[in-house]
Amino acid sequence: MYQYLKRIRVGVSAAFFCAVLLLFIDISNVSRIPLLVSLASLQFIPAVMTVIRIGTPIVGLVAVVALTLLAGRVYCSSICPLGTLQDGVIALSRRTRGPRKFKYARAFTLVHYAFLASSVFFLCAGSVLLVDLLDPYSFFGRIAYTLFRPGIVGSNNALAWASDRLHLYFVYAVPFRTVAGSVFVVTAASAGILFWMAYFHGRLFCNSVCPTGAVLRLLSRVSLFRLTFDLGECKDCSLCEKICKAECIDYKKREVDFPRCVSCYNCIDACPAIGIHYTLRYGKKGSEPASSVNPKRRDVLKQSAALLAAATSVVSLDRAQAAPSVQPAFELRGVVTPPGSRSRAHFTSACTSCYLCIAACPSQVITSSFLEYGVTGMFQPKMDYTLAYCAYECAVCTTVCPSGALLPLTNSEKKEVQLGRAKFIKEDCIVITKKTDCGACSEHCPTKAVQMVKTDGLFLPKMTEELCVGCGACEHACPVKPNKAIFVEASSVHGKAKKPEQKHVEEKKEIPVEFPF
Amino acid sequence: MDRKEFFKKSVYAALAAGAMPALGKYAEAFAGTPMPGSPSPSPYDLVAVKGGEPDVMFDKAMEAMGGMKQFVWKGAMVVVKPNIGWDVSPDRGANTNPKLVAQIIKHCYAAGAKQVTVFDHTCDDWKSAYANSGIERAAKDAGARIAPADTENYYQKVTVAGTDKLPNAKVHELIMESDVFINVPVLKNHGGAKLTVCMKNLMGIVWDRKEWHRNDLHQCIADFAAFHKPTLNVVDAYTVMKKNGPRGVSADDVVTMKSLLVSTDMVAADAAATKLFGWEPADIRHIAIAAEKKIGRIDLANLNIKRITV
Repeated sequence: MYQYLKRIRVGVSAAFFCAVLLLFIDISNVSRIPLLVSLASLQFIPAVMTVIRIGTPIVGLVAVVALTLLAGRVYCSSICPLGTLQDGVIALSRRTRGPRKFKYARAFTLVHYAFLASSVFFLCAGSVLLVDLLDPYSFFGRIAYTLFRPGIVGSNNALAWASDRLHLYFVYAVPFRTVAGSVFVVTAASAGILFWMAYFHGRLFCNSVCPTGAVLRLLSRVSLFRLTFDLGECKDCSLCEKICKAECIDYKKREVDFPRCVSCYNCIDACPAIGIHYTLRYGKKGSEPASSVNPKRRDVLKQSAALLAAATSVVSLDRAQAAPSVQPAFELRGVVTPPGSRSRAHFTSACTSCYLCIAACPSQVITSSFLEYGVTGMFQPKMDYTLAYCAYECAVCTTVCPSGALLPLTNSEKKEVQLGRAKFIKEDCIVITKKTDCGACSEHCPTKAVQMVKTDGLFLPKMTEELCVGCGACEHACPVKPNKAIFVEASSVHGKAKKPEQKHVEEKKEIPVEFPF
Repeated sequence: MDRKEFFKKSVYAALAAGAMPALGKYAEAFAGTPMPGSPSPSPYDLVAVKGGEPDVMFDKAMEAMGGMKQFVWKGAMVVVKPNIGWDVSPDRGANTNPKLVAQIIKHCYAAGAKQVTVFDHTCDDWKSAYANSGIERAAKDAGARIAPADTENYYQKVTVAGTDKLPNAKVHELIMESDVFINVPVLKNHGGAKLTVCMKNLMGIVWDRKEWHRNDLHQCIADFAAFHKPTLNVVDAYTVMKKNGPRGVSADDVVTMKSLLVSTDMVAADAAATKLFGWEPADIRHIAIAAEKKIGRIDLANLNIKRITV
């Protein structure tokens, strides 16, 4: 059994990794089927966000906690895509730096729990700061979208270019969109640090920074099973320590610091015998001195209780915040949040900036922000109507969000959501400044919230704001440079748009009896 | 001089000379554009059909026009340009009827076309619009291929001679390089241009439409109509959007007119379509300007029109 463990782990992690990666780099929008998308909601922190911000229980979260309580941090080497990404770097390091370069290192326990505590503190304060930066899934999402996807788009477009030159129209070019420069720089720099850590110290990030790692580290201190040395079987070769990427095996002491172990099973695989294997923590076989168990357990219980209390307070805090206001609030040219986000407050308090909605948007109207939501909402997605506009018949983004920041909407529900209201600046309009007809805004408006009305011989846009869904089609289409004559003013609480009047055109003879010419 | 360049030069030369007949059948074939005054390959200036399904009406119309062989020869590369502007279903009348598009493609292949390609520079996301309009499926089933038009690299810069407001435009390479160009607009109400038919449909072969909106939309539409004329225009007036165009708000915006117009003259087809819609051609400014510029004829009374009721 033990000889297969690593292979099984590698297979499972590769499958999870590829599936999650595909969600972010698929430019054809065919892979975002519910089954794959549900893998994203298995991710620990998005699942936690859903629970504390929405209150919906997540089966996957319970499963992950149960798994960790059973056998330690299996999650970190199978479900977590950032873990697998680091394993890729570690594999590279093994090739270039040489194999078996790891050695037992000190545990940055305090640093690690300090990161977790700060994250929890900000969560309690209603912000996702730190959580969005450190959540391994969201971090992975940003790396995949920001650093990997442009490569896919570039290769696709090169192929498309070749296919077009041959007039095959077989591969289609997709618009080359990237995130804001600042987001790119921060993502690239933090990915660089992550890769450096992985290259020289294996899973150091997971054991000193990662908040998911910290929570699971706490849980795995009391797991039912843990990996321990079997002194009778050990061949005294020290291979296990040298191959341990969590740097948690102290060969000299014949100890595994199990809370730090990411369950990669490299040690088991490398061991010439079965010198390390799972043992029951609370059984008679446990080799640990009995005196050290109780204080540890007490610690864990205390810490868990603190976390639980914090989480509960976050839930109650959020409930209070989410009380729906009847009147939509406006701010001048505020940031428009994507459909399904309900309100700016809800969105910014739940979104961990994984960028799955950005990757999934067929119109590519969702993009990253930098500081538009303030420091606490750094990097969170926003609508940008200079790039495109929100398709009336589409609600894809609302169905992919794993953290509950965007709540699922059906297409017909989404058609009544008012993201903002278009404001018309008459003085800037072509019809006024150039005295010619235009009508681009009205053409694109899906609800006819902007109509062309005859004024002084020309047709001038006229707004009916109750009908506006804030999709930005008018703003995008407006030809006025540099400032659009019509633009969407964000609703900080999404309103409800009035349904367009459904009156059938005047009944007349359908087929002309005689040709009118 | 490569093939592409040769086509371009042929078009420019023909336009500059304004004397297509002198260049003979060969140049006409490449330009794919019977100029006003040149002998129409059809006995009629305009064929109007009503009362049938789109495919049946098109069969009847082409019979009257002398068959697709008048326009498409063996080995010809054909581009069919329907209106696929919007991501809505066919019952909304915002896009050309997919059945009609399929039937046109079948006629082209029957006449010996080597390849038929369908494209439009859509307003909504092109993949969604191609799919939900039903045109992608219909075109592929009929044996045509679809081409994208959503990135600028598909477009070639051209100079539009003798215009007032539109000296330059970027035109899709398929239009520049195909032998035959079949323009298949859907007749509908339009917030900007009042009505969209043949000439307005050509906005779907150019890249920068905002430029037109900035610089007197009606004038630009008429100016561009002089630049490149389709080999054939087929106006779909089966499901007609009477209000809230060009996108429409719901199926309540449409009436079923079950009509079809075919002509080589865009202005004549636009004028007849305007009448069908219930308005006067002279009231639609770009049609009036185009008639004045002698791009085509607006005087329906003096045209040789074949009227067919199915």
